[in-house]
Amino acid sequence: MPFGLYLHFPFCRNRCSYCDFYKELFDAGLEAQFYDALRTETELCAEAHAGHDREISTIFIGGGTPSLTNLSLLADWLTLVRTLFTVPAGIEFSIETNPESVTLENLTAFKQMGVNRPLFGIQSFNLALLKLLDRRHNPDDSYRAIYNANVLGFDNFGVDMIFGLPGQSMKMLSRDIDEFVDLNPPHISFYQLTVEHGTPLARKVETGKLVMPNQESSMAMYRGGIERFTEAAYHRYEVSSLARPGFECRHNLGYWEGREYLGLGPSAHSFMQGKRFANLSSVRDYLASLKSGVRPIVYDESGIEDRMVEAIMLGLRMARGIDRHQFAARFGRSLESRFDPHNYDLLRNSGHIVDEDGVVRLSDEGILLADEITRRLLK
Amino acid sequence: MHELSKIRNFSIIAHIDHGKSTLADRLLERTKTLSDRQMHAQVLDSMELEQERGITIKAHAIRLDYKARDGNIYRLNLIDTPGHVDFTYEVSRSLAACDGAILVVDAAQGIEAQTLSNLYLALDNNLEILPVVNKIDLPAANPSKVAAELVELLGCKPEDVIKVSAKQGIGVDDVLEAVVRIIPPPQGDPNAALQAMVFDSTFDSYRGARPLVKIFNGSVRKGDKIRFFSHSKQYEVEEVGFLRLEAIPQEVLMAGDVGYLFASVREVADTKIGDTITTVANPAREAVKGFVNVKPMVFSGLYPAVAEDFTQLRESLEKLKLNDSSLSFTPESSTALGFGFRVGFLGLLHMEIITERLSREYGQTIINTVPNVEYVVHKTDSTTQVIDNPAEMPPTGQVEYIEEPFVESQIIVPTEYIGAIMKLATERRGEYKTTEYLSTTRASLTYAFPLSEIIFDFYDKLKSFTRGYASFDYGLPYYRRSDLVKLDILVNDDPVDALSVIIHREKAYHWGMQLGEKLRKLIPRQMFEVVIQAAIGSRIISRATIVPLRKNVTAKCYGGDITRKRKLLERQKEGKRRMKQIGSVEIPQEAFLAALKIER
Repeated sequence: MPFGLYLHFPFCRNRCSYCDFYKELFDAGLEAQFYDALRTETELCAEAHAGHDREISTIFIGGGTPSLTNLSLLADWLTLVRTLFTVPAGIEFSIETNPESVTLENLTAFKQMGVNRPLFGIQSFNLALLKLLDRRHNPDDSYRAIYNANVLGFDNFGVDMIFGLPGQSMKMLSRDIDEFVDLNPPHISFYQLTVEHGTPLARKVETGKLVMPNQESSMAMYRGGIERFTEAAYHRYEVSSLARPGFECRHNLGYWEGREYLGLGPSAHSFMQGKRFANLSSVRDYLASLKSGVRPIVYDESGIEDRMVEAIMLGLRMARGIDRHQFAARFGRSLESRFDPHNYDLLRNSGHIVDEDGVVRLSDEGILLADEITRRLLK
Repeated sequence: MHELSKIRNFSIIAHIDHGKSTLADRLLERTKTLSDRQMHAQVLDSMELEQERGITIKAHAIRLDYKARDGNIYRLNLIDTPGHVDFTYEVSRSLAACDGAILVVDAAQGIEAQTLSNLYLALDNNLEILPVVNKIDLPAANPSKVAAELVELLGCKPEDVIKVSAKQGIGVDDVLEAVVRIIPPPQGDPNAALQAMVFDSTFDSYRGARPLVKIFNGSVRKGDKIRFFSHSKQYEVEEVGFLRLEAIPQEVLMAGDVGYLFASVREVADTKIGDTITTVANPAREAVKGFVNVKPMVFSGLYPAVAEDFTQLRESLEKLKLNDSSLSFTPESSTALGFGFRVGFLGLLHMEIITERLSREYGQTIINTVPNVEYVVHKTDSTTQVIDNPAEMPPTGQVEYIEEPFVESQIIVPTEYIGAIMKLATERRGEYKTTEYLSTTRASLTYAFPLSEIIFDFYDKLKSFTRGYASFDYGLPYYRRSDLVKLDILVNDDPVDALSVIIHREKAYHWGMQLGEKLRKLIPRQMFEVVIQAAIGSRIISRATIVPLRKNVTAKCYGGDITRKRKLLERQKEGKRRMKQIGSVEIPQEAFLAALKIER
């Protein structure tokens, strides 16, 4: 089976207040070392992969801020990937960017490397909110980035939009939605700000300097946003993902549908040959390990029981839900056998779960409570 | 050479913190009973829990050899007594093994209720009292005032009161001399039939129960066939001896002696405190008087936090029962909490000790239900039913009336707090009986209280109402009719059986309101609206609602890090495993424990 390829580019210009993804401050010398190590890692993976399908189905470069990358180092690495693996022409190839570091030059280069789906971390068009998030860009950077994408003829691209910020009103959200809809992106990640433990934002919330919106208003924002996007002909195919028909992110769907993927770079996660594993997250440890010719991986020792939990947990987040036959074919157990029968009845009677035509999925009401429902539903 | 005239059996009675343990330490030190190494502070309180609580839960007996000023060596048996109202009976049996008692009173605090109740127990057992004023070195000490109180109380002479600072070692020799001089030697006939009274029993995992006995008559040695008066089982004595810090085996225990014996008794419950041992070959005609089969007074449902731990809980309780004959338990089940046990305790302190030991020594996380006393329900069909669990209460229509246990209690308090005590007593349905003035500044108040009103936080309340000056004790319960109701808690119309209580009608409303409010705060928002109601029969007396959860969904799925999301879910599921589900509502453990903290 072909697999998805993920690269974690671990550098940023600054640290955003809410982000808990692994990253280092950008440094060209460190970047060069990183690419050296990445080449070693890629070669070691290819060796380990001997005897298996070498075809890559999707490529996704995330981070970090991949738009900061040295273009020739990235191009060299991609050449190596193409030598070691099979990369069919035209497969979905995404790269995350921050608007302030998007230029006509790097966007052109990305396109030449095969990128056909740039993603723009716009988040909001409200300067005050961007500042709160410690984002470096302004609305003009965002307009310019999208303009460049259009100029270069990217017919598939995506934007990130965040909501549920301290001090954000419904009116502010509504203006943002107008802006986003106007840009007409084929894909929108519409996600709620999460306070991650240990981030500067978390400290401000803990000390009471910032107050997060309560459940009622975040529900109103989410619902309102989804309604507006739906009116604008977007389809919510996952909790936080909206797309024009046919523009769903195949790479992400791969994660959610239990397909295999290989993650390279510090803190990248993989699911290959039925096993989940993760790279060491610190750049130093990552470099040191590869210098001595060892892949910096840590296995997650979970087994089939956990795969089933994941399939349910992720399946319920998607509009298409969980197909009973597919589930049974994949695991050799019925979906039913994983459910707590009392809670299943309860949730079905209350309309949170829809069970029809061999598919179990959440209703619109249910999606708002996906975590709670998953917890209750699982045995 | 066994000479009764050279034996003294005595105990020390004192209120908590009046210095009993320190004085005991000094006596051991002066008689060189223990080596310095063994002489760590307050050796008599050896159980970890006891040390922390500063009370002696299990009595011990230790032998001291004292060379008196008259040149003779005396064998002094110091018998320690538990110092809490929950253990009155045990104290009485320990005292029955003695011929005298050192009454220790703090020179700053004066006489307290517990001092008095133990003194009365000692006088009931015809003990010679040796009054001691301790802590005379304290700046706040008023030895002559306290001595005067003692003279008044005991009718002794002022010069009979020994002034001591156990901490500084002042007056300790005088105490030892007085023990020899004033406390009479034990009586008894070593040639008569054996009468050995059990006043304590501990458990040795290899050798079984080890009762501590006072030999009233006769003698006992290895190989003797013995039996108890309270049951028919027979045993062969394997070892007799006395206690220092370790057990010291002896050939024989004779009339007047205090010591232990091993006879392969498998359970402590077979060596009941107060029971009498005699020989099979030459049985005594009668037992030593005063034996009572102790019954638990307080009952609570104990449930494992996680259902799978039920078997483990049973095993832990069985082990605790091996050396705690007053512990009783029977399996029960609750729709809310699953399978557990109804456990009977001597009192609330005993309950706390058992639940703490379950958690500390056996690693059990348990949920316990609101403790209650035993009620007698008189039914309309003129039968009666004794219930120790609110769930057993018959439907209202079948109940003619209910009786609950009352106790006579004594509260000793500086006179300026009498008003505060009266207020508290009224809140706790106390019935005023008498006031006696111990001196111009201290009074002893007698009340009748429903036992259920004082087994909870009464003692703490009493302390805070009187800035710690009041002391309190109570006697054995008797039954009286009361206006009691069963109060149920309904969650979305489903009764949560583990939260039902039996309560006085006038207090039901307050209880229901408070518990409803606590539950409202402790039960997390659910997918559905949750309505919490308190009800007496079909009548709803309070109502609180929890608004439903509006949004609970992780925004982004962390790239390919599915493991992280799954682990988060697993943690939540672990939380769920510890929740109890009633209908559609998940109730966390804290909600059940909250019921224990409701103000009466």
